[in-house]
Amino acid sequence: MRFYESELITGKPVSASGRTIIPQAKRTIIRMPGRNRALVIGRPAAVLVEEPGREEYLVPIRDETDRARRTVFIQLALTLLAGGLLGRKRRVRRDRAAQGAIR
Amino acid sequence: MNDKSATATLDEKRMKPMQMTEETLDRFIKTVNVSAVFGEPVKAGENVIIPTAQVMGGMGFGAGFGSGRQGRGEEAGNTGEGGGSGGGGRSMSRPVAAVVASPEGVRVEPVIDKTRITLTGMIAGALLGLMFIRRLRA
Repeated sequence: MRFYESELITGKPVSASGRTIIPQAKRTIIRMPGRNRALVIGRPAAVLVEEPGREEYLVPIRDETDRARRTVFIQLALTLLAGGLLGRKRRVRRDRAAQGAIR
Repeated sequence: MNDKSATATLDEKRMKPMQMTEETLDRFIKTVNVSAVFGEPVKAGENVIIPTAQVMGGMGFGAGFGSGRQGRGEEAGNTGEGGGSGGGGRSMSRPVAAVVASPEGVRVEPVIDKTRITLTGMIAGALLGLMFIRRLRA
């Protein structure tokens, strides 16, 4: 039994406007140690479109809300990191100045 | 010989709840399939709209079985057995996008949850504010 599994699952085709749309979803399974707990996430991945007289093509489905939230978190992490590094530099400079004053 | 067979039966009894929880968990995992993520297509004029959502679920089970004997050795009296199990779970979903199939083509219309994004921004702002206050005090 694997701790982490991610698989692409395909659904039933849907006919629309002379096309066949095949939905594809991504299922992620995280099993906790002990074999009796699990977290499962299903999200839409893409739709495969089949059209007469044309090669089949994939239309990806992007989660814009998740993307925006991730951007905010990444920016926050980078700002905190930059703030931490700058603060450390300032402390080192201050300590050196204090040592210089003592001498 | 009797002790061995008794231990084997005990092990079987202990394993049964574990197997049941594993089976239930597997069945729960299978419920998060494509039909849970992609909704029923809706026809609107010439267009067909397929709603999509992110589905998340968590489940946990616990089960136990035990037995004991009163007294020791030759004085050992009655044996008792007991068992219990429990479990819980939660699932939630949120809309992600709508797939629109029209005579012109197939396109994806994203669903942007402004409330979620605003909340995330507020949390980020609060953390930055805390960091700023700490810096001022230092």
